[in-house]
Amino acid sequence: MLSLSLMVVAMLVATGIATAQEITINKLQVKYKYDYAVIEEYRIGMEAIISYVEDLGRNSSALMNYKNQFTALATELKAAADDNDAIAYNATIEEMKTVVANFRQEARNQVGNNTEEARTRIEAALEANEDYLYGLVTEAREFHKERNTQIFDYYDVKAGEVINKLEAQGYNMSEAKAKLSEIEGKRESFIDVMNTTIQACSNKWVGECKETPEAENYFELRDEIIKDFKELRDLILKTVLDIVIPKAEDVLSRAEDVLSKAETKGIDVTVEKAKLDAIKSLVNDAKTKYEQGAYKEAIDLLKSARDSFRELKEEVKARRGKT
Amino acid sequence: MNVKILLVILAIVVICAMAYFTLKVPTERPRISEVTGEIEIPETEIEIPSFEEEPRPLDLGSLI
Repeated sequence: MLSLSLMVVAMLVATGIATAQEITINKLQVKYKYDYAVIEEYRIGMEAIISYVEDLGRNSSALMNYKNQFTALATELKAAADDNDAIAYNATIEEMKTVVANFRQEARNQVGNNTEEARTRIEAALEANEDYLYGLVTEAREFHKERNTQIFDYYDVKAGEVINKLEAQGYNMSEAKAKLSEIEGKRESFIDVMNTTIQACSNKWVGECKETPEAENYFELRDEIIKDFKELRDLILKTVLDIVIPKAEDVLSRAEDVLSKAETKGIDVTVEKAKLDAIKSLVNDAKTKYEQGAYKEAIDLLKSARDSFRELKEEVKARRGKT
Repeated sequence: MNVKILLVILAIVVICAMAYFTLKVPTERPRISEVTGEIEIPETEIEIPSFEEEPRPLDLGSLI
């Protein structure tokens, strides 16, 4: 039984059929991780002010209430991110802004003329928690890296599936396979360059990492990988068009013969011939786009030609039914 | 006698008419042949990955 399972796995690997990768980390979850570092910065600042208000012998209960509202909203924010609900996420951020504004108003009421000292207290609290806060930003970057790796793997597997399907249909996919191997060869470098960037930015706050040379190296490789995928897409489209265009021309030529024979029998095929001419024109346009390297547009034109041809076939079939 | 001849002629006419309608081969109007073939386009969709930028820090306003 075990050997049978191993054989099946070996066959799947040999035929290039892999289980589709999933992107389990969504964009909002990554954003939340970065936002959480800032939220924690606010929480620490709120606690510093509450402590200062208490030192002044004033009433901190309203401030405590606002801080609790704020942390509860942070929990809601995480739930919205986990649900990938951008509307709820943005609405929660707006609510948090309102709570911060209320807190600020109350804090000013309580500290009176001592706002400078209150600011100093906030600064001191943030400094005391510096390692924790920068650690949160690093965690967010690690999480971001994980999502990027998942995205890479997902698109890699998807491209492999398309290549395998086309190969099974008889297309020569050797060039596309070589290109995909080249992309796969960059995976480790991609992870390395992200790790190096995270390390180099360990003392940089959210949004401050972009200007570093390490980040620039990351952007360079990231853009190269995107370009590679575009080249792979074009390579696949070209391979398909090399075969599909002549076949389409052959199909249309045979259809033209049918209509010409009908015409010699005295049947009026003016409408059908006009439709066929329009389809031929679409295929010719597709051919021109193909020659210009605009492969995606060529495929789209061919799809229109395919649909129109199907309609023409149905119309001819309907006419044959008439007696 | 004349009646008999007429009946025979009538019978021949009826038999001929029946034979005509039974054996008649219907004439067919010229028909267009079927248009066959298909413009086949296989699945070629290769998606291009997009990697998000690090966001700008959240700004909720000042605390004091």
